[in-house]
Amino acid sequence: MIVAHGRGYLCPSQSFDGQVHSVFAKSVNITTSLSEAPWVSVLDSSLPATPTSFQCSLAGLGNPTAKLRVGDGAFMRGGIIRFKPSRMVSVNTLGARSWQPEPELIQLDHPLLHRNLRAVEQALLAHIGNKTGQPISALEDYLKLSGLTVPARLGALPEALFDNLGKGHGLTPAGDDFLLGVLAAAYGLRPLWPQAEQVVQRLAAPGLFNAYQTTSVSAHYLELALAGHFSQPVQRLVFHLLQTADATQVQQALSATLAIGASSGADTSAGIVYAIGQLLPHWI
Amino acid sequence: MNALFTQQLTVLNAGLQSFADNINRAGGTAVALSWQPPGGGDRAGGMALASLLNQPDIEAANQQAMEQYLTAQPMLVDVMRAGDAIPALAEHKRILHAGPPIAWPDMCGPVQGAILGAILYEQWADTLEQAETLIKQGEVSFEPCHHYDAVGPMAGIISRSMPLWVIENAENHQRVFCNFNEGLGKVLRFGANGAEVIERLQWMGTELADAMKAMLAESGPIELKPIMAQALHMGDEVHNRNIAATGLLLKQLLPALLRTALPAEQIQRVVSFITANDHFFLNLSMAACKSMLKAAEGVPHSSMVTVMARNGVNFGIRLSGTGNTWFQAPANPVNGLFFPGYGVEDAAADLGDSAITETAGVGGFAMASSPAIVKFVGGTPADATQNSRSMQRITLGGNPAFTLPALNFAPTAAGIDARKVVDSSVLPIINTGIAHKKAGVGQIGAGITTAPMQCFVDGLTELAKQRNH
Amino acid sequence: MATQHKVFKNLYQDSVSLMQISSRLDQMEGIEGASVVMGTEANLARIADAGFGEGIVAKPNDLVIAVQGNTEACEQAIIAAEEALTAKPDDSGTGDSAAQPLTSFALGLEQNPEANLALISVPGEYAAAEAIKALNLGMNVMMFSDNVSIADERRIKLLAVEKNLMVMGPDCGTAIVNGIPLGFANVVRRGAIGVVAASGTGLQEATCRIHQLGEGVSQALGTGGHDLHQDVGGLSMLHGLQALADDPQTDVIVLISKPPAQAIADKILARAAAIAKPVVVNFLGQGSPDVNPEGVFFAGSLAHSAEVAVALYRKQPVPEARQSSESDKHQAADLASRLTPQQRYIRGVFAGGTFCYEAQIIASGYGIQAFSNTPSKGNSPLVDLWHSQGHTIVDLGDDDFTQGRPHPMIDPTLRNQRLLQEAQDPQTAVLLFDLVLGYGASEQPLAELLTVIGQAQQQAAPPVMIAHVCGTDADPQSRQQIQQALTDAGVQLAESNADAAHLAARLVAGL
Repeated sequence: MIVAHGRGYLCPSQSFDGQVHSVFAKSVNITTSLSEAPWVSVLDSSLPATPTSFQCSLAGLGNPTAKLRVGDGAFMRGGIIRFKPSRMVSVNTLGARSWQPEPELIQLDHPLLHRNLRAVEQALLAHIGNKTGQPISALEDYLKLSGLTVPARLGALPEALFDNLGKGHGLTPAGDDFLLGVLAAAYGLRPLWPQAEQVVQRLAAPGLFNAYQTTSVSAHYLELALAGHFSQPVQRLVFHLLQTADATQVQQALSATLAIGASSGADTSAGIVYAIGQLLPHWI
Repeated sequence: MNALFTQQLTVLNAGLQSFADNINRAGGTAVALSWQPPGGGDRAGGMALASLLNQPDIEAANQQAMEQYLTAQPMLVDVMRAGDAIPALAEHKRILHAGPPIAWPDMCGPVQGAILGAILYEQWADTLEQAETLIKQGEVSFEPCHHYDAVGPMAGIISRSMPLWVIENAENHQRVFCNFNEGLGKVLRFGANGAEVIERLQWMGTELADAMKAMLAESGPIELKPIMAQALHMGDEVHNRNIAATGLLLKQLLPALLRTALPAEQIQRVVSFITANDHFFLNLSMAACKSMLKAAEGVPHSSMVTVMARNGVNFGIRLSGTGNTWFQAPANPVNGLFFPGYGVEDAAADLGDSAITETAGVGGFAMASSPAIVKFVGGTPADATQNSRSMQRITLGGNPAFTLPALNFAPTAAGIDARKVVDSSVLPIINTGIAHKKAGVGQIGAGITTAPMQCFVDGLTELAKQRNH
Repeated sequence: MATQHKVFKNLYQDSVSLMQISSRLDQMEGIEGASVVMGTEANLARIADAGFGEGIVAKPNDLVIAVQGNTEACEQAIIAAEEALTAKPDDSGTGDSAAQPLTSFALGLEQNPEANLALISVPGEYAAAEAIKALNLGMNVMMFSDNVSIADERRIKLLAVEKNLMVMGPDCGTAIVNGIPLGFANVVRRGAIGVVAASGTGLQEATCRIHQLGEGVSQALGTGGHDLHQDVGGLSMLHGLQALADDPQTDVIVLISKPPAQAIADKILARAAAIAKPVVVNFLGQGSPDVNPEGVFFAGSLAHSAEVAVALYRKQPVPEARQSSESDKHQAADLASRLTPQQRYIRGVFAGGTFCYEAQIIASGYGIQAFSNTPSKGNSPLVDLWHSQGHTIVDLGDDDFTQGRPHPMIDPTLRNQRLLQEAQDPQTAVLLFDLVLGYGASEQPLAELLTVIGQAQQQAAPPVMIAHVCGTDADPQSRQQIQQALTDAGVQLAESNADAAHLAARLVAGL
């Protein structure tokens, strides 16, 4: 039995019936019968914690793909997730500690934000340059590299960002992660910046997001993002970017985000930088 | 919001079978359990068990204890005189024995005979009668080997001049000890105490001990788990069957021994002694298991069993979360076969610290690797495999270091959870030899026995009591 | 005594196999002793010492069999040993692990991870522990077991509240969850009316009546007979009430119980009033309070609670409890006309405890004071349980009658005997009884019952026999067939327990 040490704040604690949606070397995704928690992930501790994931050490399990298959039954009873037909795997979530999202924005310090944004943008561009071997000097270069398009003004046509969905490789394509970053920034600024609120409203409008445009795993994370929920490193980055004076903390938060996936973290960070730049242009 | 109404109803039925049958007839799904009162019908014990099931602190504690047991790396590092390794033996006339604590008058024949022999060996008395007088005067104290992180097979007698294997856990540098195996026939551990026994002990404490110590200086520390793991693939279960393990040990031992500067005759005597004894490795197996389980001791709230041991009268266990408390009950009878001329009326009760091997997931738990023993109870190799499988129901998991070919190289079931024993009514199974109840006669048979239920019930009751404070 | 031996060259067997063979030989008739060993020097010396013969020539890799006994037996033994040694290995192993018995809920859940309800009918002294284990494992619980202390019941239910799980019982024998009958329950159409009942037969009557009226049941939850006890506080009923309030499939809720303590009743009614859905309450015998809370409706009988619920669901006017009509009075008088002046008493013989209780209450409304082993308020305890006196209405399912015997719903022998006894009493005017169908109840309820009724009817002045059949046309027993057979046998069948009791009481009151 694997013991989960961490849980997301949207994870269910009682019983559910469900099915294995997908299995990877370090993660298992489950769809459930609960309307309030239709998706649950079991992730290895090395992956970023999400609001719907249980974190545990999957090392003792060997490779989950050898033990579980898509469509297998998944059942939580008394905090323990068991699978059918494979009885070799079970996850005990009883003692898992919940992580809480960072507190909301309470004050907007424009000079601080300006400084942080500059630093993050530079570090991000350097990172992308290193990774691709082609130094880039502006966010536009990154967008061209990734084949993403953005509206001339975010506030005018945020919906255009949905055109990028499914663009790029991997479980979560670049276009999706970029949009996710935009949403993270918009939600972060929302309590104190009306334009951010408007962008959120428009992007989260019902019927706009078509899950079929992209992978189902990515669709899940986008659905969470449209509702204002983000993985722990992403929402930490936004928090520090907007509120923290200590440059080291901001830098660390950026590093943690950049470490996500192969390029997911970089794409998300780009979306954050782009959105903040768009929403607060006269300060940038 | 209770999710039951949106789920497919699946019923587990405990009690009247007709309820389950009717649900299935009516188009529902019901599974009839073969329920029986847990804990041998002890009501209060059953309530204690219920309060301990699926509790976050206990699950976390068990995971930690299991982790510490799994990562243990027992290494044979040294040979020491018992009195040097265990100062308490040097300070007083103290003799250690197998199993839970027991007073002299209550001890069984083999244990008393062995203790008398040890007193002669230590030259605290010249005759058996004098030795007994010494005891009756209260001059000698007795304690379980386990109280000093030691183990001994059968009578398990350890006194200060005896040589001990020193096993160190490379993970945490804790040390445990075990005495040397004397071989078969008239030996101290079966209660024999004649002149030849004492002479052999003296030789072991000098020539053999010196040779082994010198050998270790040449070889360096010897890892024990790999030997055990390989032996499990060769027909041993490293409790009652140790011949392959002894052979593997010899392969490491001999070259180092030959490199020492010891006289050739001594080496010859030492080698003859070891090769004549198919169970030479047993004591190292026991020490390795003790080392692994010691690492799991002392985790608060853990229901993992860290000791199972017998003193020829009572069976005793310890749990990780209840410290040094012994939970004892009369030993269960051994189901087995006797050598010609002997019967159940001649048998001593279950005896020895060697159940530490089952506690660590080998021995009877690895019976699938050494099916021959089930023939003692009229079984087939399939039964041996079945026994290993049924131990999976009462353990926290498996030990991937010890895999069983007959179970498709599945890890052997390890980490006995006292809760699961009481809940499922499946008792830990132990492969054991049977000693004659009279001191000194020796082994008269072999077979399979189980740990008594009451020990686990008492352990859980104590664990539950501790949690309520 | 003879000895014989045989040496098998280069035949190795491990010591255990050797012992097995020697043990088998030992047990053969005429054999005094047997020894099967490898031919090492030591072994040869040993068996020579044991008297099996000197001069056996063998090498350590040879196998030696030596036996002592009468000559013929020795020969047989050697032959038998040879066969055993050269036989093909036993291949009875299946290779796979045979299914191991599931001895606990924990093991059951491991093998069936989708399990979500633990149904417990183990002896009472173990039931509480099993319930707590099941709850800790995350399963809902139904406890048929009885003889669980109030303190344990409270502890179990508080744990269930903590885990947001359902506990039905202890002493709960009836439920219908997700359309599946559990315990002693009927096959009832699925629909939009939910029921929470502290009485098994009460639940059965209400759900059957709902079905008969053409509607259906979403969930029927039992709470156990002691749930509304002062010290348990109605925890199961409150949980069930809330669960049905939250259940999108449930539109109307029915609550059934014997009258609870005032404080408990108040708590339940307050919660019922706070729920948006209409709630029908039947606290048997307790009339409706002066002020009806909004959305709470009080029913006069089990059947009436079903009728009210159906009307509420259909958004039709709520019917009054059935009162006597002119035709009712005619029917009663007509039946009474056949009685002798000596026949004056009502004798109720019930398998369902709540039916017994309800009958008493209804009868008392007609001024009939009765004796019973479970007397309602105003009635008196029956002195000799086995012999009625005056008006007597007994519950044969009560502990008094079921110690060491199956419940009358399962085995009606005792009930049938009592029916005959009452029928043969010249003072019996009306014989009133119930017949409960459904899963768990006797599959052949008629056979002996008809015999008894036949015997009763053969008397010069048989009593009037009034009964109701609690069941649906979907039950394992055929309700229609049973009703027809009873009618043909001269039994007056009523639609419900209440109707039957009314008819019986009306008749007797008019004598």
